[in-house]
Amino acid sequence: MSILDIEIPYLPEKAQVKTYENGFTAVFVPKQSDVFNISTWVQTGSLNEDEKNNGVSHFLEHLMFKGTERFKPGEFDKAMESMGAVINAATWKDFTFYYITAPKGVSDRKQTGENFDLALDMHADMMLGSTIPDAEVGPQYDPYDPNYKGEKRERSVVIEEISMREDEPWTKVYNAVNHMMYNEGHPYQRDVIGTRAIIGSIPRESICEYYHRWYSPSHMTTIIVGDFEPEVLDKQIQKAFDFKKHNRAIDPHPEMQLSDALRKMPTEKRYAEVSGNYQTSFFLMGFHGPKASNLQDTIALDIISQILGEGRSSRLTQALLEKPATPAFNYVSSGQSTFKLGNVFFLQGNFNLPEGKKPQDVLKDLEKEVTRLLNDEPITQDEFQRALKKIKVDFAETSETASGIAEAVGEAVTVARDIGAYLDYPRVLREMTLDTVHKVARDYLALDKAYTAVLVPNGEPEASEGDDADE
Amino acid sequence: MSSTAVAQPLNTTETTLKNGAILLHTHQKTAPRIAISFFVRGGNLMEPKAGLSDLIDQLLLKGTEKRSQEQISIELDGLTLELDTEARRDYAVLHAKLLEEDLETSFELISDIFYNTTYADMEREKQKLVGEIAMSLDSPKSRASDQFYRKVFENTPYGRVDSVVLESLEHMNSVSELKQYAQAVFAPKNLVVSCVGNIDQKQVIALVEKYFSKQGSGALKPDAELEKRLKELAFKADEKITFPRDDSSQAHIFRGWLVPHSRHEDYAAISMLNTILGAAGLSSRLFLELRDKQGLAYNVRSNYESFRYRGLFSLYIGTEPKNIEKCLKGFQDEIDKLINIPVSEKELSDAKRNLLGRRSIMLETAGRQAAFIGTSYLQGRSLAEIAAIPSQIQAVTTADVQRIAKTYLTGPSVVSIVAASQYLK
Repeated sequence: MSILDIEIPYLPEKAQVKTYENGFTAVFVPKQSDVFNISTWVQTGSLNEDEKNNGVSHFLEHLMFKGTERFKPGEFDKAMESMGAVINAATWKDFTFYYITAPKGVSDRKQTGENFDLALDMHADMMLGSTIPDAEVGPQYDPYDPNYKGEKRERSVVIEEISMREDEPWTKVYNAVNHMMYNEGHPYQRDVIGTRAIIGSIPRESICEYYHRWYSPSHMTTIIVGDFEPEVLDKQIQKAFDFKKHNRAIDPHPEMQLSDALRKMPTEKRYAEVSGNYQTSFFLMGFHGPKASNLQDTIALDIISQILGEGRSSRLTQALLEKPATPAFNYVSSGQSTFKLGNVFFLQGNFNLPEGKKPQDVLKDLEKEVTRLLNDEPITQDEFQRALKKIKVDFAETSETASGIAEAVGEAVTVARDIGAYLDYPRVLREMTLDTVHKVARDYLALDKAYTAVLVPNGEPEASEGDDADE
Repeated sequence: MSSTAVAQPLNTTETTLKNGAILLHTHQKTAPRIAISFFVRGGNLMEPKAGLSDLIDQLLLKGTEKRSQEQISIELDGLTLELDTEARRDYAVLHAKLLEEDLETSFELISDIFYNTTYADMEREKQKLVGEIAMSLDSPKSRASDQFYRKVFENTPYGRVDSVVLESLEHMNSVSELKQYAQAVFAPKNLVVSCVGNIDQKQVIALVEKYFSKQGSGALKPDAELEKRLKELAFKADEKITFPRDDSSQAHIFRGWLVPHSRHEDYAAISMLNTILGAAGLSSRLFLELRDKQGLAYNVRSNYESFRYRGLFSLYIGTEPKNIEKCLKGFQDEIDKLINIPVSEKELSDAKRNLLGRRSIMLETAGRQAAFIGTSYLQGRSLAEIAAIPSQIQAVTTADVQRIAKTYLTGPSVVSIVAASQYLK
């Protein structure tokens, strides 16, 4: 077992990273608080999937809540929520994580409070001992068959989640861009949630197989934030996480199965339009960024995002929303999503499409701002200093909540595969120079490598409301 | 009963300042920044025209007599002063999070924004607000929610949802009308400041008195007639309102009943019924029955919102459109169970711990504490009453929950559905 003492930014006490012989990692972050957070991050997501099992990581995430040998379906939810805990899980391209945030409860005897032991026990039991009962998965069915009258269980819940996401314009435009950004067959190209056909038909055995293969010690990190002594926790963790039934080999990481050809990202710009019953147009423009483990370039893009589209004084906000006499744009912002195989930097927004104009005409004003930043009007010292200060303050605030710290650590460990991506962030930010930021902007934000999708109104008039005005 | 519920004591003090403003101060040593929420009474409730408070909110950071829009934006970002303004039914609020070294500068800036905004760009900002609302209503769920609140609070200021504001904006063209309401709203006597952070009360008092010294009228309060109208608002019969969206994958369904506001004696019992039925998370009844057992939805929940003079209890589900009837029946079956069968002692005590535990998690940050204290106060609760919520929750009995279901969920309700037109016939 190796133990690494670490300093968590803005917390007074030292934290510990423990890596056990089987490859399992635990991170203990002592924080004086009435609330604790327990989470386990697994290196599974669409990255691990192929065209046959796309969506299985997320479907499995749902099924993990459906009982173990020790606890019946629903018992975990009930036990945790009746102690006042907030529980849930999330799946994305590189990770699946499960968390419990709970009040520690009153106890004279124990520093960790009365709720902690049960929460840790049930969480570990769920992570390693889920039985994925057939009755909860539900029978296989064809989701496109209008005459299907059989039982509907968790498959149907996930299919409704797919429908729910389709009804959100932002998700729809994101999926369209995401599809263009990768070569055919790249796991990131598929929607994390999968397809209706796969969720309706994937056999329970395939899900169980996937679970036992990927939920192995070397792919999992458990993070505990709260009021405790790391020494006491160490024993408790080792006992709770025994990995008896799981693949215990120190496995290669999921991306190792990708061919070199597949790993290559497309480099030419692409554009797509999708129409729907909208009144306004939604767009998203994505750029390939550095790998999440490249902390310097990632931070430089965080700075660029602040300057381009995050603050009130940001360039896109001023140029597209505040300065024009009659702005076409209703909303605009920028951001960066971090991924193991390459981050995505994006600009997104919403506009009214003027009569006789194409979406691309409207987006010219946005592109002009990107060009300005790259060439004609580089970032000023003032803009740079404002962005640095803002990012520093935001970073400090993640330390305010137990869940904020846990998520920052979990993402660094699972996506960048390096806790340094979190721990070193303040130092790299401090040492950043404006020259580096400009170089990074030129490296990643060339407009001839932009991937853009626009949801456009299909021209059908909105239905009338049949309801009179107020008062 | 075990006393595991965390009643996080917030040591808030209330002071009426020389200028008539009220300060709710909570000393909190560990917060990285100071959170200050500036609440002003009025909101939609007191605006002379629908949408006036939304438009003031839209214009608030867009230029004062001495600062341009751009200057304000640069100053805010430079101070990392996060200002978040919102116009609500009973009040408007400006939430600020700031560093101690920036306190004085921030107060000067906020005071300038409150008292010297020119509202000159009204036409332009009006068009932007129209665009933002159109964008929001492009989501079928937002559309379903919009027409739902509109119907529930029809012809009252509480029903001034996006679509109503949109219609009203067309007829709004007087800057002086805007200024007049703004003047009344931002008068010091109408101001409630909720401050949480590592800062001395005296220091905040001095700042609020120095920078919010403008004279003005007193605290805004609805006349007896409006108050009575809201309190006695009732549906005459069941109503169903639909909106076709042919490209919608799901049907988005809301159903709701009018219930009392948060100072009513039934508040705690309604909160418990809400937790048990559909607000506990993954273990509430609606979730277990309609999602886990029947696989009808991903998202299904209940919600109790209490405004100053009235409350709304509502259910929501997003489902496959051919299941609309099945879901409405599922809703009714769960309501009937609450009416006909008392909940068990165990289920009720679990729900109490759930509500109070989630509350302590919700109150983990200074920002959320400042907002919570201020909002509760603006809903008409004294600090003592806010502190008493946990014990009121603890006192709810299983008979109370059943009585609440019978009293409030047996009368007429409003249903709102957005789905493809073929399913709305």
